[in-house]
Amino acid sequence: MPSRVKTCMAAVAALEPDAQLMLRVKEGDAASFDLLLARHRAPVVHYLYRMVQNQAVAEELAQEVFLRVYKARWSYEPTAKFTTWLFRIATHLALNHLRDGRADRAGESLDQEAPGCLLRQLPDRRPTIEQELLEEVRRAEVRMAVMALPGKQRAAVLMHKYLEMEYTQIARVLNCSESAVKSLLFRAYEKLRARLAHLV
Amino acid sequence: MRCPLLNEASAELLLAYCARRLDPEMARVLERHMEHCAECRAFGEQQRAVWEALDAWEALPVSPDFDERLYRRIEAAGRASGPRLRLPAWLRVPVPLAVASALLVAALLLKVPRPALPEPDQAEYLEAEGVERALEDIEMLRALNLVAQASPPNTQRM
Repeated sequence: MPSRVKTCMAAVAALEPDAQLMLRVKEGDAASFDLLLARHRAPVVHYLYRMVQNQAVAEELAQEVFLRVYKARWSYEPTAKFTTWLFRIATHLALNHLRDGRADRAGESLDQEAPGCLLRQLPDRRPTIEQELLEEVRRAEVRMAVMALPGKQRAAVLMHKYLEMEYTQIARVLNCSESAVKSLLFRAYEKLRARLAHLV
Repeated sequence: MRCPLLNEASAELLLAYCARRLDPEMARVLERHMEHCAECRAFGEQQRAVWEALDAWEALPVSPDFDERLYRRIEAAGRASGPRLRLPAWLRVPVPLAVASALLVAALLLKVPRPALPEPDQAEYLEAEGVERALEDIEMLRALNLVAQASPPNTQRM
């Protein structure tokens, strides 16, 4: 086997599994796209859901993310982590959605029940109802506190908390410096502490 | 130990501690500090409350027909764009460059045969015209090179 081929194969083997899959998608392997989708579908939809707080919109945006990935397969080069690229597209779409004010026009989220609405949906007066209500109020407060954060701070918190990304990766996704990410997170958590600390 | 709350950069330690991402050695040092520093203790408790509140916020499950809808969209996008000639990756940059070079060579060859020496005035005119044409060729080559560089687009930058 020529040494150049061996070197290339070693380089591909050294790549992260997602990048290897994406390179196979680039070569026309549809099954590898299925695997990438299976691996990242939920994290992307959940991230977008927490960004826009509307399940239908989140799924619509997630579809656009994967469609863009598929369309860009020919020109894919594994220069960065696959998830960095993936969440960069997702964040870009979510921030655009929020910036365009489409979230406001959509009105109340389909799945975001205000505590008052929940009262009407209660089937009976079981003993746990008070606890359920308190939990729902608590969840609503968390959602509102996160929604009150500016878009980039929100994205940084969600990537830090739920996707467990390192500062360097968040910085690459948001296209800013690592120190800017630390500052974003510090300010975001400061606001969240002010709004949510009473939930202890 | 210096109080991490004294500046924004070092408060990162407390955030990492509450996220359970601090190495055990550093975590022990911080815990010892928090035993004596009421400010840091309060910060830690509030941050932990935020962390737990965020933990309680579960995302909804993805619709079962998500993949089906996506594949329909991919298919529709494929139909809309129509069949496209796709060069292999190793040919995508060299081909436009080769075309640009060929055009430049052709332009130069067209200028080579000069049947007769023109009159001085005419020679001056043709010289100016030649310079102008050469500049146009260079412009064209630059444009082609730009096209070659732009294709394929750098998707990493979206």
